[in-house]
Order: sequence, then C-alpha cells, then structure tokens
Amino acid sequence: MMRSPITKTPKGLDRSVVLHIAEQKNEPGWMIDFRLRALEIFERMPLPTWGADLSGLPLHDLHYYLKPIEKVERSWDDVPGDIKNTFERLGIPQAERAHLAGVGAQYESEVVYKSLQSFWAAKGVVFVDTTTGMHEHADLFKRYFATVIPPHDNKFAALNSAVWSGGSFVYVPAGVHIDLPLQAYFRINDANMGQFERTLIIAEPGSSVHYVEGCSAPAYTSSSLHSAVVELVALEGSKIQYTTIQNWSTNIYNLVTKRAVAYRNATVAWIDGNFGSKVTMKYPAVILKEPGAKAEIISIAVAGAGQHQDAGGKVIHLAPNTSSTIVSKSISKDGGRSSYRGLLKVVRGAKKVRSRVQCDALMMDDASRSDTYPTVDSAEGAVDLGHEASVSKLDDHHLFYLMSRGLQAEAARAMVINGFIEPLVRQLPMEYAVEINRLIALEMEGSIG
Amino acid sequence: MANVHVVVPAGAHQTLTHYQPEGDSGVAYRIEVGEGARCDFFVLLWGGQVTTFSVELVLRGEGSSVFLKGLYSLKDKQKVDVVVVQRHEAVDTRSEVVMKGILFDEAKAVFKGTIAVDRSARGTHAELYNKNLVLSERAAAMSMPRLEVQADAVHCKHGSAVGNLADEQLFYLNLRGLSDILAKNMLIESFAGEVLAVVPEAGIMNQWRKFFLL
Repeated sequence: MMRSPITKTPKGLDRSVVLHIAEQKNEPGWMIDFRLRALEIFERMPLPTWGADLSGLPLHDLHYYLKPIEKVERSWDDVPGDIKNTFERLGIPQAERAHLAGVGAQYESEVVYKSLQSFWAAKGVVFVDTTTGMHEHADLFKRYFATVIPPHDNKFAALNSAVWSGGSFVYVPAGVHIDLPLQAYFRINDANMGQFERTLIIAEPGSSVHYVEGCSAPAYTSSSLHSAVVELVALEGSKIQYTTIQNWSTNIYNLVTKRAVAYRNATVAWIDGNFGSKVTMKYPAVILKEPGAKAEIISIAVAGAGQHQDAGGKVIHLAPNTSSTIVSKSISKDGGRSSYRGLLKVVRGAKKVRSRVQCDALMMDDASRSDTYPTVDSAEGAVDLGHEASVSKLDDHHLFYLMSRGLQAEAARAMVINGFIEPLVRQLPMEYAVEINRLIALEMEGSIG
Repeated sequence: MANVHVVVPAGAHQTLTHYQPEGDSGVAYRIEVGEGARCDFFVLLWGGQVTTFSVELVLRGEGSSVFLKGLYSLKDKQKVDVVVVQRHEAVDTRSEVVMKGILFDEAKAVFKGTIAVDRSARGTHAELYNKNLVLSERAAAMSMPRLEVQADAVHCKHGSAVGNLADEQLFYLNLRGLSDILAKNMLIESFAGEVLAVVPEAGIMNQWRKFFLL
C-alpha cells in the first residue's frame, strides 16, 4: 500500500480528491474511469426530497477520504461521561472501549482488521477488504462490481461510487456453507468525516453465508455522512443473510443503498437494526430474478429525540413462483420520527407470487411520530399479495398483567418491547442479541409510556 | 372535476352515497364531521373509461366517526384513480374505510390512502383496507396506503391485498357440482357483497350483476 504525507483530503469533493483516493489504492484504469464518471453523475443529480430532511447535510464541508498513519493523541479523560456510561451499560469489553471512544489508534476509511480462519480459506472462501478483492480477484470482482447498484441509481450511490474506500469483498465457492457469521467493524472517529464503504458478496450456487456488520461511533457536534453501498449476488440455490446493527451517534446522516439479486431457488435475508444516527435512509432491496427465489427482510428502527429513521424494504418479483416477506418494527419516542417506506412490485408474467408485508409501530408518547408509506404494485393478476400495518402504544392491559405478577413498571415495559422486536432479535448471533436487549433497555429508561 | 363539500353538524347522522355507473368523471369530496356526529359513505364506481375519485374525511369534532365502504369494478381498459384521506383532528374519533376493487381484462386501478392523525387526536381509532380482486393476467393494481401518526394513544391499522380467486375455494364449489362460471360468479359476488349488501339503494346489486358477472 502506498504511503502518502497527506493524511486527509481537504474538505469538499472534486476530481483531485477522487484521483487521490485512486492513487492511494493503486487502482487499475477502469476503476479510475468508473470513479470519475460517478463523480459527474453525483454532481448532476439533485438531492432527493421525498424522504427525510437532508437540507442540513454539509456536502461541501466534509473530508471525503482519510488514511490512518499516526496515532492521534486523545485522552480517555476527554471522552464524554454519557459515552463511557453507554459502554458500561452495553457491556462493551474494556479492551474495546478506548478504541470505540477514539482514544488510541485511529481506523479511518481503511479496513484494518479482518480475520479469516484458515479452515475457511482452505475451502476457497475469500473474505478481504474491497480494495484487496479488486486487486487479487480482478476477474471475479469486475464481473459483479456495480452490476447490482450502478452509479446513477441515486445520488448517494453515485457519491459512494466516486469515493468508496473500505468495505468487504466476500466470495463463497459453490456448495460451501459458512457456519460462523463473518463480521466487520466500522469506525468514524474524526469530526467532519465521511464513511463510504463498498461491500460486494458473491455466493456461488448451493453455498451459504451469514455476514454481520455492527457499527458504533462516539458522538460529535458536527454532522457526518455515512453513505455505503452493499451489493449481494445470490446465485442458484445459495443463501445470503446480511445483518446490520447500526448505532451511529446522533449527528450522523446514514444514507445507504443495499440491494441483492437472487437467482433460481436462492434466498436473501436482510436483517436491519437502526438505532442511531440523526437521519437514516435505508431500504434494503431484493430483486427476485428467477423462479423459486425468496426474500426476507426484517427491519427494526428506534427513533429517539432528534432522530428520523426512514427505513423499510423493497422486493421486486421478476419471475413466477417467487415469495417474499417483509417485517418492519419501529419504535418512536421523545419526539423521534420513524417511517417505514417500502415497495412490493410484481411484473406481468410473474405468476404465483406470494408476499406478505407487515409493519408495526409503537409510539411511546405523543411528541413522537410514526409514518408508513408502502406501495403495492402488481401488473400480474395470478398473485397473492398482502400488506398490513398498525400503529399503537404499549397496551395497558399487557403492562397491567405483568405488573400484577410482580414486575416493576419499567421491567414490564422492557419485556413487552422485547416481545415486540422478537422477530428480529431471534435472527441475530447471541452476542448481538444480548447487546440489542441492553440497548433497548437503555433507550427505554425514563420514557413515558 | 366536481367538488363536493359536506359538513355533518354536531350530533347528526348523515348517509351519503356516490354511484358512478357510467361516464368518465372526476370528483373530489371533502367531508367534515362535527362533534359526536357520524357519517356513512357508500361509493360505487364503474363504467367510466377513466375515473378519478378523491375524498378527504375530516374528523373535526370530538367523538366523531366516519364509515366508508366503496367498490370499484373495472372491465376492458378502464382505469380508476382513488384517493382517500382520513384526517383525525380531535379526540376519540373513529374512521373505517373499506375500499374494494374488482378488475377484469386489462383494467388498471391506483389507490392512494392516507390516515393522518394529529398530535392532539388521542383515542383515535382508524382503519383502512384496500383489497383488489384481479381476475385476469393483464389487469394491474397499485395500492399505496399510508399512515402518518403523531399521537400515541391510538389504534391505527391498514391493510391492502392484491390477488385472484382462491384455488381451494373454486375447487370446493366445483366438488359441490357448480360449474366454473357459477363458482367464479359466486365468489366474485361474495367479495363485492361486503360493500354491495350494505348500500342503501335497492336494485344496485342487480344492476351490478348485469355488468360484471360472467
């Protein structure tokens, strides 16, 4: 990897920033051209206005690339008390706390740590950062890169395509089943930093993989942007499960494009937990391209004070005999706003499609807001599509029942809420499930409700 | 495009009907319901090549309620665009909207429904259902039921569905000796029945049958 005296590019985005990134990574000509074309697309496209309010996004005031070379001196004493307290409550191991709080080594825009057990490597599984994937598996990479999400898909896909750095490249050979989830960590540690990781996962026929990403970041006063792109290719008979637990600090704009293509008899499951950030716009999507393909999207969003979680899922049925389920659970409290936005689309000729979408929202108080914006669009008659949604507050009868059995009010509330989000938590590896339960308990403390 | 503004005064019970058996049309209703008042609204749309229908139901008074039952039935290349808004502005209000559609041939329907609950509208109970029975491969339905809720002590639900006649139900009727046509008619009529049976005008069922059954 080439070293450069420049630690981060100046604020703002132009060709020189993009070329600097490509140079840092020693990229082939086709990738440089791709980035530059994407930059043009980004500059041309307007900001979307149909979703959350993006007017506060300081696009010209961000650093778009940062490479770690030196330790930054920051003392543990400088870390705000409530962040230290959060670590304590979530049970984060001591060794990780300094790292998470930005004390000690920095990890910006570069994937620093991934470990792949030699057992899997012997089976031909590839799990590296995206840049390494681009260099060492060039043919495979080029065959699938940007085929699921092209740069002109939306303004933030174009941005990511121009300045992407970091992310994972995963390749699973035919028939290989990976039992332990593959995990990755992201960090945003510096003020005014952008995070643009790009992940590509390819599952060959008959294989299966579960990939988990859990992000956390300490709080800063100036806004930051996280605009990732994740592409999944699930070839015939394969299964990909992609789990995200997002808990970005509440000054971050989290605008992510995630999409999968599922081929014959393949299954893709998106498990999406949105707890943090100031604004999240994220709609994991699955294109069911061939018969027998299945999609499962489970999404949970918790919006507290000053937050807007605009999340959901999209499924596009292009082939007959495909099925999908979307389950969305959202909780709004303390003035937060949580919105479900989704699309269920069936093209003509896609007969015998079955789909169920269920969105449930819990409102903890009347300062908060909950919205649902689903679209069911079918151009084919021989289908069975259903969508239902509900909004309510915690049922007083449920709370009364639990309290009459001796639980305190807060414990009763936490229990009911954990039951509410159970469809999601059930799908997580245990350590995440435990963290989520604690996170919910923490968020619910002191809420009215 | 016709605009109709209806105000249901406090304590009153108003029944409205909108039948559109033929001809293209565009109509927009705004119905305000006062304290303790109730409005029942029956809507039947069929026959026009392009029909647009929109209604804004404003639950302005405390304890007011609105019940809307509607059915659009389309053949050939007919199109319908339906917009329903349930706006809850007061405490303890109730709205229930059931809008069903039956699409034959190459008909197309677009349904946009919104339940909007103000911060002050505690105790709201709102339901919205859009169900589309699509009877041919070339017909298409698009359904966008939306919820925008700013009060917490509420019960709001919506649902939408697109599908055709259930194979098991047809099979059951075939087993009892009914031909395919009779069986289909029976199922289509029962689907429409939820709305047609409660419409106050006599003879509507017969008129509708003449148009739509196979």
